Amino acid sequence: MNFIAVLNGREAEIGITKRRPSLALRIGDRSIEVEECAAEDGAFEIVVDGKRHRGWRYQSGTELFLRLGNRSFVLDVLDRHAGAGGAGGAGNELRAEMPGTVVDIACSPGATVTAGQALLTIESMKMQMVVAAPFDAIVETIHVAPNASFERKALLVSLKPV
Amino acid sequence: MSRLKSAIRPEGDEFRRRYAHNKARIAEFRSLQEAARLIRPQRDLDRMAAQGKMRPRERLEKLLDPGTPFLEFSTLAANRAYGGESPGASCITGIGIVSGQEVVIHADDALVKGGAWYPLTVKKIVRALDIAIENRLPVVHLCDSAGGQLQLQSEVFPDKYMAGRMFRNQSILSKLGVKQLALVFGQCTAGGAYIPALSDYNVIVRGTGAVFLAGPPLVKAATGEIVSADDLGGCDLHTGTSGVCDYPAETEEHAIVIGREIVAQWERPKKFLMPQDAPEAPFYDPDELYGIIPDDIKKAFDIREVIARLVDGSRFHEYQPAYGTTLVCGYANLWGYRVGILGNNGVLFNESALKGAHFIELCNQNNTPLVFLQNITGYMVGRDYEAAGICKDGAKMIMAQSCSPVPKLTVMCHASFGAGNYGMCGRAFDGRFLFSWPNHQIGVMGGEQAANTLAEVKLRQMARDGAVDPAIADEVKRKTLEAFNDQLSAYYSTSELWDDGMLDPVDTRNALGIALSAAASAPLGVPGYGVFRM
Amino acid sequence: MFTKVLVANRGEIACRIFRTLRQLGIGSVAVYHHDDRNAPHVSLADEAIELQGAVPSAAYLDRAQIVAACRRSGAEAIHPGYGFLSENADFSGFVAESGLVFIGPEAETIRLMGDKIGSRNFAASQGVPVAPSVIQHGDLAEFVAAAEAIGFPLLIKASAGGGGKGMKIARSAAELAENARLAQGEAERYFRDGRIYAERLIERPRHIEVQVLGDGTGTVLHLYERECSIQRRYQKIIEEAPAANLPTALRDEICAAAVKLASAARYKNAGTIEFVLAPDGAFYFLEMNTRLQVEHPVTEAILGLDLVAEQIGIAAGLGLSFAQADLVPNGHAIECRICAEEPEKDFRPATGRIGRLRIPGGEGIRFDGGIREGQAVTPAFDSMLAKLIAHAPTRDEAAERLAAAVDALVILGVPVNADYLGRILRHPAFLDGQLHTGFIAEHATALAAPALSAELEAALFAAAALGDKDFRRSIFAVPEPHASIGAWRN
Repeated sequence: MNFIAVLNGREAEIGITKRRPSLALRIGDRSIEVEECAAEDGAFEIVVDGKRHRGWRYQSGTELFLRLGNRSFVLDVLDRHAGAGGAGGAGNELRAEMPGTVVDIACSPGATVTAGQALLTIESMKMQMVVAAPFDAIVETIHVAPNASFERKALLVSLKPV
Repeated sequence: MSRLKSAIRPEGDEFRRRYAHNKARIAEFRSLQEAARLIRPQRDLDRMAAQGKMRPRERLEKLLDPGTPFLEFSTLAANRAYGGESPGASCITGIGIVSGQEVVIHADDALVKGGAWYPLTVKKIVRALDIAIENRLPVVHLCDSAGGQLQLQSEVFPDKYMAGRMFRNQSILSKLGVKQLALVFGQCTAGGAYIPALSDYNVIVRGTGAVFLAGPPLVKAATGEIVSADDLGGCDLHTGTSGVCDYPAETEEHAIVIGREIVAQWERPKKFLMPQDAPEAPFYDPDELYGIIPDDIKKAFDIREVIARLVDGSRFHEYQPAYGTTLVCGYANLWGYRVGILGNNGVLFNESALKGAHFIELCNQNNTPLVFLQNITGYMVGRDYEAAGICKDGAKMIMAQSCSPVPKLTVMCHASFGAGNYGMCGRAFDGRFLFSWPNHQIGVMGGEQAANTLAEVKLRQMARDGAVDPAIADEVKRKTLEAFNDQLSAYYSTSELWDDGMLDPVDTRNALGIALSAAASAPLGVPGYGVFRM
Repeated sequence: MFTKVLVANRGEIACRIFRTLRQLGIGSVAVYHHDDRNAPHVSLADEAIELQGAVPSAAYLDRAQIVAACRRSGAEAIHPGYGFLSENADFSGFVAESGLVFIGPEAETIRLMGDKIGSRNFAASQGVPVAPSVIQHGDLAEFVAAAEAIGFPLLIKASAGGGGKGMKIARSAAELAENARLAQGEAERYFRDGRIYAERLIERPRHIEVQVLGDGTGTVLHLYERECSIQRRYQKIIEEAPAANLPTALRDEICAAAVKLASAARYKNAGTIEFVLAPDGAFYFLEMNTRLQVEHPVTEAILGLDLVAEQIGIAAGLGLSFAQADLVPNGHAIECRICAEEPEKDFRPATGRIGRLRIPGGEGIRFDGGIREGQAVTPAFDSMLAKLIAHAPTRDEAAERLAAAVDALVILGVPVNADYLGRILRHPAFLDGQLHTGFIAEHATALAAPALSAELEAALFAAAALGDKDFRRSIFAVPEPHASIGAWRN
């Protein structure tokens, strides 16, 4: 898959056009020949279209700090679709995974909630669980009342993404 | 290994004439291929776009690793069938690289009648899965088909190698430990539902993907139940409730990203054949093939000139160079792999057949894959040859070839008439891959020969009956010629899937390289031969 | 001589002081807040004692804990470094009362010089030139009227202030009235002392300061001058010794004035007297800093001595170890301050983690840092991470050496101003010695990061991609012959 990085607010997609006998990369719509050379000291050395560059890199999270020659830059590495097996995405309806009762309701209709914020506490099989907002949203409807019992798959809360 | 010496004269008339002819022929071939790949009714293009779906080839390009080759099979399948309604037989198959893995790809082309399966579609898919089984290659299915063409159901459904064979092949692949991934982009209805169900992993796109044994119209007809496609067999139902599908994807792009991640986890296959050397481009320019291949099916050419433009460094180690000279046998490297090449230089004589059988045995003894370059019009005929036992000599070659445990690749370079096809590993002989050139012709005999033969037979018949009319014989000749010309053509052969695709001769080297790498993933067959009639 | 000294500071200055203590064979004690437990200064000392504090800086300002730690460790003296408690007269007194030695001036001296207005008056009384000014004595309207009388433009400052905080410029009567009111409010807020004063604003001033060492009896040596005109947000970022293109007579005058002032105060230990030098050659007393300054290494370089060693000697009662005649400057030294900030965003301080650190070496290069690879850079402390100093026979060579060292310096993981400093060091106006405190504003456009050429941008993205594990895998994971065949379709 292509590598996507953002520099100074501009996004660039880097792809591979050729691997042998020499590596050719496509950056945006220009094609460049790249050769990697050995370098000591934790540095890297690459030859791009005939010009040699020495530099260092350090990545922290999605921030990539790169020094090329005598200039330092910061890029953001994008991961468009982070992770396989996409997050449940059951959408905006939060349903009960097993039968139980409502212990506590911690939100109200119309409230704006952030991802991870607790919405309700339910109890099932002698265990209490917190139902949290999977994403930033506005609470549309709370379908259950305190102390109410519900069946498996029962609709608990409807959210509207923010 | 020494380099072959080329004897062509590029500045000569014959070369130039052939070059012009073949360049035109290839241009025609390429434009037909392009049309079969890309020209689709605007209405269908619009419909797919409106549904938020990507075109099949867009999905393919996103799936494949950038900067890697894709060897497409049978682009021109069904080009002579169904009134041209089914370009490519409504699907795309081939070998490509996904996340660094060699995989067989099968993609439904929903731009052709919703991707509905014609008889030749099924045949093409079954063939792709056979290739996967024989070469132990994992498979990625890009599913988006309306199911079998109802009107042609008798040719799609009931027989041994029809639709059911796809699912049988999927099961056998799984049994062999070869993985399959299905990406459900559209509706998988009825039999089609089994493709994702029988795949080890599958991904389904929310909204447009659906899997059901019976779609909404059938359900309504059967029980009166009215239900939408999404409710009946959509993403959330199958990933959340039924477990028929593994991964929900928000978009087609997302599905492809998930698919690539899945494939990235798969173990690399063990290779049973390894390249012996670093590859080396042929010394002679493959472009010269256009000046070597004749413009007439009856004309000959030296097969060594073809070999010189296929193999590494144009180096060739010829076996028994002085004996059975109408069959050229020898070793070469192709993309680094050591191969044993058999190429026709004329009709097969007793000696050539014996030499061929012996050489095949040598290759099997040395675990060397076989490459057959066919240009054969038949065996030598006549009493002397029959008396010398040409039947049993030909049989020995067939026996050796059929029982070969090594992978076999065949390229139809020119003629493939009659029994010569058999010894040289025609379709029936389970070669791993078989490709043909646009100038290729295949038939029990050449068109003119058949026309002459039948005209001769008619004349004899008329003579027996008493009224000889040369005009009638001529008519027989003309009609026969016409029919044969149609059915002898490489386009007809590829339409019927008698090959795995037509190739521009200059593409043959790359195609064989990819084929050899694919073939190397399966263990060699069980050694041993039947009885050689001595 | 002391057997053990405690350093009541952190970061690069603490590391630097420990280096001298080690060389002198004196035991060293570090103090640290929990957040600093992995900082380099902690492991550089012979022993380390943890201090408590709700926020990290509170620990380093807690005089009771510091003195207690000193007692506990058996150290006889405390070196306060710069910042924190170094100019806190009460602390100095408290240390002395506790029977320990404060490596620095007497408490009264600190108090005198800490009062901007008081110190100005003292300077004037000693005949040291001071800029025409007016001090606020209560009535703001009176102050405004008096200030107007000096003439515009005016600089309004907080009496108890420093570091550029609470300073305002007024070019007209209206601005004066408004800014005086604002400055008063800020002074109250930042320094808990609302007194302000106004003085004539010198345009294109140079910041010239003189390093002095006194033995407390009235004998004061000057260690020549430094120029610190390259400033941003009123803070120095490039300093040098000696000052660029300063006529000898003028230098002698300024140094003499500094000595006069310090000896009149019977100054003890190290200090720096700061002056403003106007384009016409007139110079005015600005303030005196009664501590070791950040930029002291450039003086050490041209004189070949160790100021911290001198400070310790004076504090131990050994007096000055040389005479004025012994001090002969040699060559030229320039220092630049490497700070965690983004020059292109108005020098906004940055945070992060020092993921990669590579310190330049070479002839005449000195790196004073208090950082190590893996260290977090937080808003808890000052944004200065390190100092890079170059010493060479001439000013041009020193600038070139320092620029090369800045190029070779690698700090990745937090934005730093190194590249920006390199551009200053190579700017023709800097090399020409056309320095003044508005240098950075004047050359803002030229000093901005040059546009990225398409070629460099491509190399950058290529380097970024080639460092990515998944991308590399997609390059090298493709088998043969596919990798060699490339993007082919039949």
